[in-house]
Amino acid sequence: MRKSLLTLVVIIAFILPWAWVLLVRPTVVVPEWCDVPYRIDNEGKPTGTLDATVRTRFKADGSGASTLIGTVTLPDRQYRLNRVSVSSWHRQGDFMLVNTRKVQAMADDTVPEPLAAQILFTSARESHSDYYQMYQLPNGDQIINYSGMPRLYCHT
Amino acid sequence: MARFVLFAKSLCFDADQQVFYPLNSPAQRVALSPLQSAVLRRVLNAQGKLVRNQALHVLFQREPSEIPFADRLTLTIAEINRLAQQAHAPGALVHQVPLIGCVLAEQVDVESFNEVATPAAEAEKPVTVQPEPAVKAVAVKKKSWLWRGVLAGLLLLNVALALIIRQEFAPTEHDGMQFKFYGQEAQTQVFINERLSADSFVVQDAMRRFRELKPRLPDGSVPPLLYINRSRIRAFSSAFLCLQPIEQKNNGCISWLISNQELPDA
Repeated sequence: MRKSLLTLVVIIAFILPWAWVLLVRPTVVVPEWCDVPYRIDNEGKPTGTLDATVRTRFKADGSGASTLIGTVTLPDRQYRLNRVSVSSWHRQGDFMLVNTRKVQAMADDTVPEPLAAQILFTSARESHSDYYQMYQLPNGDQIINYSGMPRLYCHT
Repeated sequence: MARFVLFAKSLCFDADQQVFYPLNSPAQRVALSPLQSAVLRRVLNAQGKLVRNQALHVLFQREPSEIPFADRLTLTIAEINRLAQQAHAPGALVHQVPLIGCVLAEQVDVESFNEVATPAAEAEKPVTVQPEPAVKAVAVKKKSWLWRGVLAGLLLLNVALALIIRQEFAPTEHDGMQFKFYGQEAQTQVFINERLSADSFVVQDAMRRFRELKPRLPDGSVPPLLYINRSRIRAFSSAFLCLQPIEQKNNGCISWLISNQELPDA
């Protein structure tokens, strides 16, 4: 009884540092507000340009909300983009896991759903998870780095 | 911390608390007097050898009494056996050899339960000074200390390794801000990531698209500064269009991405 307890304690003592290393990684601050203006020129199908700004608030309790406002310009017509999404977020070391729970298109949003599904980042799609890195620049802003994706610039 | 299990581990004798109890029901305790437990402990430590009356006499002298030693000894041993029966021992624990001493009953197998033999516990029993078990105890202790040392060393090594790994994987520097000057393109100054070479595909491709697509800042003006990033996949190229140098705050930078396919699921 005592012996097995002691063995258990020793095993835990071996595992604990690794759990600490993996779970409590050195972190950078998550800004409360993050503005990401971006422009995507798509040369594939559909050809066009997306000019938009994502304005996200990362609340301290792990919830988040963001607005996506902009325009989508196709050769023959133009759409207005205005969506609000509710998400939850948490840190995993220097990584960020954001789960988009609900996306609501506002009344003046004219982007048809099939097109939106094609051209918007996953953060504007319901029940999608994004896994990315945020790192701080010396000027206090942050760069958002998706794996394999282009970098996004976040103004704080 | 001195405990012994007897009779094929059915009976437990706790020398510190001076109790017997059946191993499978520890709540059912039978208390021994200090003298009884000292005698029993002495007999158990002898490991089946005869314990002479002289040795036991020393124990009895600690509790002076009117009754002659021989009678007290007989009484004490009978009492020990009776108490053991009460704790469901299958037979007598100690046999008395008249006029010579006493010995552990043959059917009793003793197993010490000493996990943490503290130095204090060791010092507590100078009464039972007998060369052989003492030497044995020291040997056991040395071994366990060695093992403890090795274990502590391994634990420390483990922690050190974890710390090193943590340092290795910690983000130390990012290439987000290391740009070098590339050239002037009409009204735009172009910078490229320090790790890119000027004639690389990424830079040439981004420049070609900049000339073709003529991206504007949100206010419609031609961006005065263009920063070209590294890009891991060829479906995209990635750059920042900026109003002010990127090092400063409120630089008006926007991310400019060129995709030549449908946007992938991230």
